[in-house]
Amino acid sequence: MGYRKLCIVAVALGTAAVLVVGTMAGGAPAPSGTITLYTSESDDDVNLLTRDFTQRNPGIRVNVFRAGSGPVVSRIQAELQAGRIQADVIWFADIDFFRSLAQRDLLESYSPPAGRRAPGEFHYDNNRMHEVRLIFNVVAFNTRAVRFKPESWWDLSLPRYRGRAGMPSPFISGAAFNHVGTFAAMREFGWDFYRKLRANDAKVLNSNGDVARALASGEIVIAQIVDFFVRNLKAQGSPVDHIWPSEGALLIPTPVAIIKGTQNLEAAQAFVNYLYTPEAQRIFVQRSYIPAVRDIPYPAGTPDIANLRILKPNLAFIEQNRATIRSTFGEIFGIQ
Amino acid sequence: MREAALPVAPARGPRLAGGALVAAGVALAAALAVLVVYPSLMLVAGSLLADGRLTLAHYWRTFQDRAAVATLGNSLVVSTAATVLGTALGTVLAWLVTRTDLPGRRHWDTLLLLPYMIPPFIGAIAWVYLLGPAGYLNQLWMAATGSPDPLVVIYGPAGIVFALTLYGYPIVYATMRGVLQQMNPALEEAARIAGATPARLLRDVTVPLMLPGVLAGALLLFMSSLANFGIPAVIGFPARYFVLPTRIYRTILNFDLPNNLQIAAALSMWLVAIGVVLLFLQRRLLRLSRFTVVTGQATAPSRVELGRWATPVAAVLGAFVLVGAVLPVGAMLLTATIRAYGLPPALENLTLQHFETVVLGIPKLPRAVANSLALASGAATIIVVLALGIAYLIARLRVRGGHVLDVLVTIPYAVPGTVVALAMILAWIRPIPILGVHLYNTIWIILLAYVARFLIFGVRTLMAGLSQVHDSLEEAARISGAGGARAFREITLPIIRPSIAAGWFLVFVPAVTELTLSILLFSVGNETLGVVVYGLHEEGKFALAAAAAFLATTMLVGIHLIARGLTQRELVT
Repeated sequence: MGYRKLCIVAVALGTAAVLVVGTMAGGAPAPSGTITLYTSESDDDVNLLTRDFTQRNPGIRVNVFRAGSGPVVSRIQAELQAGRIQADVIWFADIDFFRSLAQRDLLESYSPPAGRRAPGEFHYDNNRMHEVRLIFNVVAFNTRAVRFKPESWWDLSLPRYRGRAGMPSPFISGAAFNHVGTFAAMREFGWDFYRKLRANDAKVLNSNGDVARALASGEIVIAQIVDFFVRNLKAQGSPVDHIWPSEGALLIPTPVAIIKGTQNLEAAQAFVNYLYTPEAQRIFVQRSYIPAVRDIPYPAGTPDIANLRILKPNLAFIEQNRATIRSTFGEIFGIQ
Repeated sequence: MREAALPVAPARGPRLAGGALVAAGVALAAALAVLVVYPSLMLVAGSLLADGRLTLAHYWRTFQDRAAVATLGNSLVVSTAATVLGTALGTVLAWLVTRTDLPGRRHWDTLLLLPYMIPPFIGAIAWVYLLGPAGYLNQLWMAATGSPDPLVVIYGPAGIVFALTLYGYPIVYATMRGVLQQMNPALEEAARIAGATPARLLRDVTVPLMLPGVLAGALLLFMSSLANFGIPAVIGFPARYFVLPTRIYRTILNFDLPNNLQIAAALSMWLVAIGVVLLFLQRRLLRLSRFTVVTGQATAPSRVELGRWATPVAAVLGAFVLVGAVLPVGAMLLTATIRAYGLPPALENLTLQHFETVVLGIPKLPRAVANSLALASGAATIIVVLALGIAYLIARLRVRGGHVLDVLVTIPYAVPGTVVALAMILAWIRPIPILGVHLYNTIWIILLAYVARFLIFGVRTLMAGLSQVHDSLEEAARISGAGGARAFREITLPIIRPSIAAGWFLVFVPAVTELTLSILLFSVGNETLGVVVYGLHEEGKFALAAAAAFLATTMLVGIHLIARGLTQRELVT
């Protein structure tokens, strides 16, 4: 090819590129019908939900930013510094942060009609946040490598699992952050629990998905993890299972909220409402989550939570010690 | 010494019509102000401000933070180790290919540059599949020996050095190959005739001749290792091992920390300081090497006969290509085709489903590919235009202050990409005053960062191209009655076309899989390919990450081959 041709190709590509960049440039106020969702929901699951939602509501497009709760919070804080939150709907596992947004009057109050079939306690803070399905931190294990079924959170500190126990990082996972913020203040655990895990060379991985991957591959054999990941993997044939720890599984609130001042309030409300519809609730069940709506059957092999010992996060402690929870954990495990 | 005192002061370049020149100069100055000057000032200002007041508190804090100081040590240790290993490797390989009678030299030349076509963070991800705690090589080892423990786990400093060396040595290899090919064989000939033994010849002639080139290559490799974010992110995080770029990255994301951006800016200044020293060293070296090595008369150099060593050497090189390119790409493909990560690679466990999911089921992946192609070609085109102007001003018109331009262009490359991204955030996080335009959270801030970071590739290439065109050619055209613009269009432009094409691809190729800048600057809808692949890996979706990484690598090798066919040169910077 001659250089003349080459140059023509290069210029054409460049021009096309500038045009494409121009048309795709985000940031500008979206036309009505597009909403932006910031979430820590597992990527495949949120893709399933948004696709189904779009099919049922043609005309509304959902742009998704997915990351761990930690990075999502960082992004929102950066955006607050820069002016305003770019998301219309937020959905992740850091209820303490949601409450701080509510205090600054940044969340819209909304009562989704489909949500009436969920217990009233799932709508927090004057309907400014909503729980659409339930997740719990539990103890999971690799069934090929673990011979004795674990019973307690303390099993993670057993010498036989030295270097082979793991958990998600509270810097990335909101569930892990709530866990540390709750256990650190409990008399039977406290920071000592984490020092013992560290002494047992427990691994701090990234997200819950990363823990699930490590557990399935045998990289680690016992872990603290959100429950549905394990049931989902088990259903696919991976050698993993989980127990409901004797001290209690930790309920992880994962609120959904609408940002005040969204330019697509109706679309945002439609999405939040959709999450309570039987269709969405069934997708949750299909992905092994425990549904929030009463009349939807649980995923196979899940006991009724009414019969389980459940711990709730210590929101007062988390609110007062937000900054030091992570830094103390980081010091113990030599992160940051 | 004043210029006027020089009896043979270089003539200033041809005078161009005032108006057009001034307009072009102002446009370039404005571009550099937006790309380099303003973000640099905001970075420095950020490191010195707390709640609007001037302070050294952030510096004080970083110096007192023992973990931060340890991170600086980590950065220097892994970069130095990778530089020593990569330089030795690159030099020996270049010598084998250029100065011995190794059979199939030309093919080896292509094969040895293969690792360079794999983006470093993707290479690192592939090595996690091989040498992670449950990696294939470790599984083989455990199955073969019955050992419950893996053989080697790649996580940690040694793994970082390994990956930095493997994906960095081509920088030295390419430099040394050029140096060795252009080395004047007459010098070696003379020594041989004078009766020097081969060992003595190597020690007293060849090595001293090679030294400036080796040092220049080593310096480039050190800068690139120090700046690398992807490898220590993939291999360092799981072992809680941080280097400065990964630590600055975490600090930027840690909004729980008051003044996190300002503290990150203070940390960045350490890297800026190192960058300035390295730049100074590089300029000294360039001056040194100009006189010693290159004669330009590339007569075929004499070749050392390998004799019976030919086969073992070829075997070692083959093993090397296996480790550098074949194994990682194979591991990507295998991970991408196994139904669930952790299952044994048996036939009934194989599936193409992950490829389907990646292409059809993750809407942000096709979007990211389009974004990356658009950003890379947009940045390459803008850079070529800017670089043409800058190179013309410096090399042809020899304007006063040309060296200032040169330094401005070099700054965003002398400091790591993480620092460039932070400077862009600090500069554009708020709407631009008066205009009210917001760059933060748009694709434009990524484009700006790419242009700033890669500008030097375009400028260097075009400066070299322009220096091949003697002033007298354009002068002749003008004497014959052509205007300045016409002389440029019809004489200079055709001659430097290959340089324009080379400059364009030199930017395009690394930009397509860029990670370091994008991961700090992307927003919803504006994800890049690197961001999506890295994100999938971090989320633990290994099969999907592997499928996406494999497709990205295939695409990149294709682009490399096209670029090489079009420009007739290797794209190694």
